[in-house]
Amino acid sequence: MGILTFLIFWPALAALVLLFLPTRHAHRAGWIAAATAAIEWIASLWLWFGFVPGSGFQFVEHAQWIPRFGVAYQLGVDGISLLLVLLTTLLTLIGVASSFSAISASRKGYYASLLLLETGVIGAFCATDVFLFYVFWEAMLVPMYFLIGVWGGERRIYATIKFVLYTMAGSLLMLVAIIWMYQYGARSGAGTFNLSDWYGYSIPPSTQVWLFAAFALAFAIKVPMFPFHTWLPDAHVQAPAAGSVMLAGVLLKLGTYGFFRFAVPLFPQGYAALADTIWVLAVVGIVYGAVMTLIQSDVKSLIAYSSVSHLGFVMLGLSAMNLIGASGSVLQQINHGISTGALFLLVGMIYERRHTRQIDDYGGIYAVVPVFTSVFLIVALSSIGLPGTNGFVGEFLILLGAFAVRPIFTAVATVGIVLAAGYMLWMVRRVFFGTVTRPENEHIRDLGFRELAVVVPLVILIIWVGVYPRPFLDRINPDLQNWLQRVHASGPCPCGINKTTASTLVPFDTTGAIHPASGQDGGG
Amino acid sequence: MNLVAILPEIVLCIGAFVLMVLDVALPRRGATVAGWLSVLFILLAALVVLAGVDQVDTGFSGMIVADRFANLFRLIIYLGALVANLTAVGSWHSKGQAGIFGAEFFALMLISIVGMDMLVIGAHMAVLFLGLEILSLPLYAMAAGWVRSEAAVEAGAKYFLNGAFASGFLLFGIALVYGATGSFTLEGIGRAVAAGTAHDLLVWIGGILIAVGFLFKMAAAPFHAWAPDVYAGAPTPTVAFFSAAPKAAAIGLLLRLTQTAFAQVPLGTILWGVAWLSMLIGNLWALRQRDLKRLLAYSGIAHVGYALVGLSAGVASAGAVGFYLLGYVGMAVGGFTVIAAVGRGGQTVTLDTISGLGRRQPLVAGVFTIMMFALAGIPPTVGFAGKFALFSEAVRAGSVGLVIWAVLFSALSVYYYLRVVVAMWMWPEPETQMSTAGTTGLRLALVLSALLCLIPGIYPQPFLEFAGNSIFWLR
Repeated sequence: MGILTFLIFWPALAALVLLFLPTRHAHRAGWIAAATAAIEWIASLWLWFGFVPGSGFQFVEHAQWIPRFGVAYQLGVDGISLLLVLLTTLLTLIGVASSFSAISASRKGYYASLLLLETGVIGAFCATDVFLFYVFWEAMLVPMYFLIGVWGGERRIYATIKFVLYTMAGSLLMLVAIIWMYQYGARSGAGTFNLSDWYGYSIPPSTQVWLFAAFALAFAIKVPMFPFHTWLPDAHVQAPAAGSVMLAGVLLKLGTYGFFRFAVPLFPQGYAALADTIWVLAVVGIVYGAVMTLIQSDVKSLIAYSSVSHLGFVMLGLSAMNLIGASGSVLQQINHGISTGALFLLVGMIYERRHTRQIDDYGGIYAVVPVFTSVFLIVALSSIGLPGTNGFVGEFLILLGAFAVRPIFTAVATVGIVLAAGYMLWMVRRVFFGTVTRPENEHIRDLGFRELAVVVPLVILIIWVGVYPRPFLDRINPDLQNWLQRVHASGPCPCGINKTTASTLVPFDTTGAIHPASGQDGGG
Repeated sequence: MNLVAILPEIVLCIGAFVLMVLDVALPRRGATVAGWLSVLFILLAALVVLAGVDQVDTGFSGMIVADRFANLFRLIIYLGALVANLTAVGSWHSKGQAGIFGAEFFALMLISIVGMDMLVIGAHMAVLFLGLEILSLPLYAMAAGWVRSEAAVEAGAKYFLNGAFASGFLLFGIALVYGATGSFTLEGIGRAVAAGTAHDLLVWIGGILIAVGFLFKMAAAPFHAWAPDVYAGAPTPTVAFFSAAPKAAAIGLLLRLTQTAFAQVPLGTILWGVAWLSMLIGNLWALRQRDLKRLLAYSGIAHVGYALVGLSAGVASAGAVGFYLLGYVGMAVGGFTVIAAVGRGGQTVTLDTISGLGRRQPLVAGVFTIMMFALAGIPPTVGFAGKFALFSEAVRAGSVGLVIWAVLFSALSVYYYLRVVVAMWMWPEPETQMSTAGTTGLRLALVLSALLCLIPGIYPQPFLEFAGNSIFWLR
């Protein structure tokens, strides 16, 4: 059994144990889940240290599953998915640990759902067989559906059904495209779902457009890109805190990951035909998301809408189709997971104390909870993209990459950053500063030891990535370089700049991040 | 005369006679003993089939062809009957049902299975007609089984009238085809059509009428109108029985017809339209149902539509269709098992009845949840693997448009399946507590159908292999 199989099925195994745990032990469910998630996280560190940048898929596993369909159980991680897997294991651990006091009803099912979600997400990130990917992609809806529907807020049932229906509608069309691809391969030999084989298919451009559209719709709903984002605020606001962390932290990344792994490299010419649309939707998403964020009165829905804006940046970096933009985009996925995950955690903690998330119900609590305020401020600033935090590195790389291709679009997108500073700082001012306006806010407990232990790792990551992103980018870039070559090799460059520019845009020494040399020698 | 070809049917017939005698011999405990005995007889018949699964037995001057394809569908039918049988045994003790109906229920069921078998092994129009009648007549009686319930009697009457209608279509079609080709055997009809000696138009009309007769039986739209009322009124174990097994038999027969007698008739186009309409009507009408039996009735119509998507892709899809039906047995029959378990005593089970079931009976609710996800086609259940196999065949045959139509309605169907799950796990528990006593039969049926939903979904290879290999024997 390889490490990836362990990472995928270890949480599922623990979830089964939890589901059949005798009721008298139900109060131990949290500890069992925490131990499981901790072991999982430690095991996942093996990926970080054992990873060799630029050598394509690693930790590869292969086994027969449904030979009749050409389906294999096939796993691997590369620079695009490595950090996402690590992010998932970390956020699950944090999510479990943060739920001890928040969840009191049917604990067994709650922790089992969180762990099953982890199984689904890691499986989707690691699958290199498209059928296997689709199975995990769909299966993870089930635990999320229960997390929102059973342990969510007041309108949880509406939110959870909306979430599932939106995602299903998109992904079933993707299923048709997947079947089409399979039958396309089956015409000339044995049909297969092996991703590497699929990369080699040469599909007529006119067909590629349809296939790309089917894949892109599924992923755009998940990202979510404007105008497919309407499920997101509902799901986020109603989900329990750990559910929001997982949703924002990793589930949304599956959408952007899907573009990187499947939609764009499988159908480069299809992508080229629709690239303009994606540019426009990304920029509209950035600005629209930011404007909507400004007018939110609920902290949680404020953060939810800010995700629409942030993920617009990720899509912008992808659209640039050069190494700087793409690596910024991959890194920003991680950054968003860390920062937004931390924000949802913090909001969950204050909600446990005051049972409200309305900005107006707070005010001046800096004096009451100084530690909480400081942590919140750091995280909020990283979300804005203050230099020295992770958000800056990601957004800067994205904007740099995008500016080289489409300066005007990029200029419009920067409005999103300005607005981000506006909504975040305005919210922080209204919640934390000034004088305490309400008597019930005068005696709020500050963060306890467990809560600090949950948040501090994320704060460390925020600063680490912000100050020294090199270890992260080193792992991302060589594989991205190969990825770009594959996309560009298939015909006219979809982004409007020629191939040489795309690869010479590599050196970027101000962050000391990128080694053009190491990008050249890896095999794909 | 080759009795080996019909050995499983002989076993079932003997079983039926034994059970009827038993009812007289043991007036008090007859029903329960008969129920378990009939489980044994079904298992025995399945063993007989498995023992000669690769054998091709023809008999009775070519009127019977028991090939591997027939064996596949026999096994699917037995599986559906087995789960329904366990459900019936398990829900027998409860008051309101006992005394009205005893061992003869199980005897009728075994006879009905014989009729289904005849549909899949028949190679002669007379056998097919007899099969349809032997299948249907016991079902009419079983549907009206709760004689004190007006709804049940009404259900029986409705089912009978519609069934008579279907038989009429079938007979008319057989007559036309015979007139055009001069043959009753499937092979002879196929030969006459291929040789061009037949009157084409008559064969076409006849073929379509024959197909319509069986589409009635499987409740495909627009021949579905009886299904929701009959499902809602009939006793739940009966519904469990006719929710899957007769459909499987009828679909198996249609597959054989499209391969043999009507290989030249554009039945595929008709089936395409029926599939299209069944998915539309089944899914749209299911959206508003609160009565679970009605909901599953409409969902059954939709699922026949999915199966026909595969069927319309031609005979190469037979393996996929067989695999899908195998899984459907678990989802559909199992669903009615849950309804039987929750609505003991025959009361209507609505979304409100199962409100909060997750906290009262987590295992029953868990099994039902698995079934709902399977019906909705969410992996790793057999619902996903089965739909995948079907749609894959349809795309290979070039009907991408129909597949897109199918997945759009699959997405829609998620809404009403999830509403059931919502009711069980997310709605509050009602004030009045219901009885939670389970019986051995019900438990067995629940476990069996849950396993049927999960195992072929997680590891479909052996099942696909078995079903897929069957089509090479199809003749």
